[in-house]
Amino acid sequence: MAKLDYTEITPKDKYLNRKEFLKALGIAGASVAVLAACQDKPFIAGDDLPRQGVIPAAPNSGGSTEEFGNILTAYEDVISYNNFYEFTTDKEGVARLAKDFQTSPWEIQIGGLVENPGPISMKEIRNRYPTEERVYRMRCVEGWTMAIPWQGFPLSALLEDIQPQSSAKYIRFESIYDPKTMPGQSNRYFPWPYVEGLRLDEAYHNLTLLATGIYGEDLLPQNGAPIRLVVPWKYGFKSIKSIVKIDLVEEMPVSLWMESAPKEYGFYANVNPTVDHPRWSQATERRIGEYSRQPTIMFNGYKEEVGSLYEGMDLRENF
Amino acid sequence: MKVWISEKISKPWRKNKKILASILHLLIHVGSLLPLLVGLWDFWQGNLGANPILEVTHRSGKTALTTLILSLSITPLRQLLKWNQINKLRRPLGLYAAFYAGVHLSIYVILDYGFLWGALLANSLTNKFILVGSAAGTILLVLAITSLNLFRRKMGASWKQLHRFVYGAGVLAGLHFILAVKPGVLRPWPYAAILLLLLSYRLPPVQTWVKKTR
Repeated sequence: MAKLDYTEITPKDKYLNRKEFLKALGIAGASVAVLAACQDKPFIAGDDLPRQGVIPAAPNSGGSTEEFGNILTAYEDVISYNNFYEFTTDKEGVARLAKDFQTSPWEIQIGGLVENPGPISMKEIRNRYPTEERVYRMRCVEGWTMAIPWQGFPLSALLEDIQPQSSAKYIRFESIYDPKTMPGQSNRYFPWPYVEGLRLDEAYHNLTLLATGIYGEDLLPQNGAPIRLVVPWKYGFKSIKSIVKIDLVEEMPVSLWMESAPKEYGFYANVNPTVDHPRWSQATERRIGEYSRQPTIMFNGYKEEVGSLYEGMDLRENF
Repeated sequence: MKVWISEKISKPWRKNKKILASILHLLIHVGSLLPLLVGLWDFWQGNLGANPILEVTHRSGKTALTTLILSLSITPLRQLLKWNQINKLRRPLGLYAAFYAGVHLSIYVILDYGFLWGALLANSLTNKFILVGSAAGTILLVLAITSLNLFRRKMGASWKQLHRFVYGAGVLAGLHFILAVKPGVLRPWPYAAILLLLLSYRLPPVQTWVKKTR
């Protein structure tokens, strides 16, 4: 896999149009080959990556790309275009409303079917779990996509410490509920707080990240500060933000979206171009920062890594 | 006292109705062209945010809906305020609604999907809101074309009947907005509420009541 270099300018990628992109990609074939080359540590940039200081100050990503040739989404766009209904349903209004959101002190309550329950503070989390940089594509269910360099650590590292009991089958996450500082939570249509969940094998998967930063900076409130989930092969809404509670449970958790619109949002929410959302065809997507559409790829391009998790499952049924 | 006040207000009102209608006429042209100019300016300046195509899609759609709502409000205002002079505002408003609906559709077909007919067809089949929106747009287009005096003369009584389809366009346009957003998103509801009010005004019992009170 190509190493990331923020300072490298690769204008070729910028001007690749859809047709050339398709050709370059050869859709499935080439992508699988690229992914296969990554083995089980895919898309991890590694320690030789330039850290603080070389991150482009300007909203431009400096032309660096991830393994599909996607230019990293401009930092400015990542911090100004957010779905975070706790603040507002207006994607471009979140940053302003979230500006003064307090993310320190912060702790996560660990509970349910675990050997080591109890609160864990952000300070402890930062000390205990060294972060690494990973560039993931983030595909929103609305049909747009970003490529974001995250700082985070695998959720599996936390799971090893808290030790799920053998009866635990799922992990359930909860976001903060604080309608005083999150005006969107006064919209009673939604059963706050935001809840999401994963099957335990999904949670243990090496791609599943707990992120605390992007572009070498701490997460801003609009991006889910101080800590959020990132599950790159699922639609963005699965990657729950500003987590305050993690429980290991036996039954499949019911997410906020499953509860408020069960026909539209299922538990799995894997990126899948062949299963349409009632409101959007999922066959294509647009990268933020570009005009043309690209074909959406199964599991957001991470099929090689996660396909085996869903073997034998009807993904139309389990949407 | 009451009579005196109503005299005091109604007299200049009666006198200035015509001038006010002309001012409104001008304002409608300025106000309806402004979204287009602002949109082009923002595009030029790169002010359209992280997802410019979606932004202009939303803006053109909202402008189309707003002008459609305004065109539907002319008749109630005319009847309730006994203000016949504003009737001439109906046609430009309807034409602007059709124009922005056309812009909205063109952005979707050309900018958003780059004439990917396969994807567009798939969207129309799977997504109700696309179908509903297309129907609303088609009605507005037909009404815009037949608004020419030539058609009006030729069609006679059936012209009026045909142009009643604007109520259908109103229902479909509101529904299009509601179906296009996630459940729980409240943005379409103010538009839908005003549309509902304006369309209910046309119901026969309401009309009977209006005529009785006049």
